[in-house]
Amino acid sequence: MKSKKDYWKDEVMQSFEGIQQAVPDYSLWIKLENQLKQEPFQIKMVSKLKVWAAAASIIFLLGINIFVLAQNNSNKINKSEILIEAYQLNTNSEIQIP
Amino acid sequence: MSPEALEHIYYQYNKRIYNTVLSYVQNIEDAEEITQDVFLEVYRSSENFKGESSLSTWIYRIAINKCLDFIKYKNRKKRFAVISQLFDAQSGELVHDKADFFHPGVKIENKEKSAILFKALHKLPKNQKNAFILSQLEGLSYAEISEVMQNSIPSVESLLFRAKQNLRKQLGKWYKEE
Repeated sequence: MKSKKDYWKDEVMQSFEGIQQAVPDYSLWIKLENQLKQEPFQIKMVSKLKVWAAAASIIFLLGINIFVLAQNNSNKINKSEILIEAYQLNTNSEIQIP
Repeated sequence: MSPEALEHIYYQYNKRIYNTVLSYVQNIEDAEEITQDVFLEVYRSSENFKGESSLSTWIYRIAINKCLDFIKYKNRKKRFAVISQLFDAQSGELVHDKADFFHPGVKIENKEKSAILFKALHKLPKNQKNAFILSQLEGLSYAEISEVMQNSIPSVESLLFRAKQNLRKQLGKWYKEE
């Protein structure tokens, strides 16, 4: 047979029955929003693959630029040589007196 | 995550999280502060959410960890201030026990008894406390609790059984005082 103490324990154990949700203060979101404004920035993790892809693209672009520049310079030299040869230009800096 | 997305999540889960936190810390001011921290953590670590569990499970897990950290911090502080804890700061009288906590959602007729149950709940080991709060106060199913606690369903059942047994044992102490 249950003792008085056991009945009391049962009642206490059942005292959470029908409990309603407590509601937080309405200003809690405003406080949170203010804290969000103070957050410096969100650090986003970038995958290693993206980092390597970006590095490879930069190297590729640099390579193309260097190649094009080198090509342009050699063309300029060639053109001047062709002109000297075609018109038999004197490249000697000394003045020739007939 | 954008602040707008967080606002949406906040209004969807704030009551549930606040209630869980309140049951742990048994203090309205602390519960509001921790609830705020929980949603800040959700905002900061949204990149880590892989969708392996449901969003609510993930938020509950953050909330429980925050509560346990808070309790640990409070206990550590207590250890350093044992003497001052023995006396009330204002009256200077000897403090015998933790102040009663009256949950704002409890029925008036259950107010006193639920305060005793909260006191007993405070003394439970953390896993039993987690299981009891999520089941009895939050109304989560065993499957949901097992997901939050990352335990199997049988172990949740066993934790709940032991929690109820230990609570009844604890209650015996207060019955003598009545």
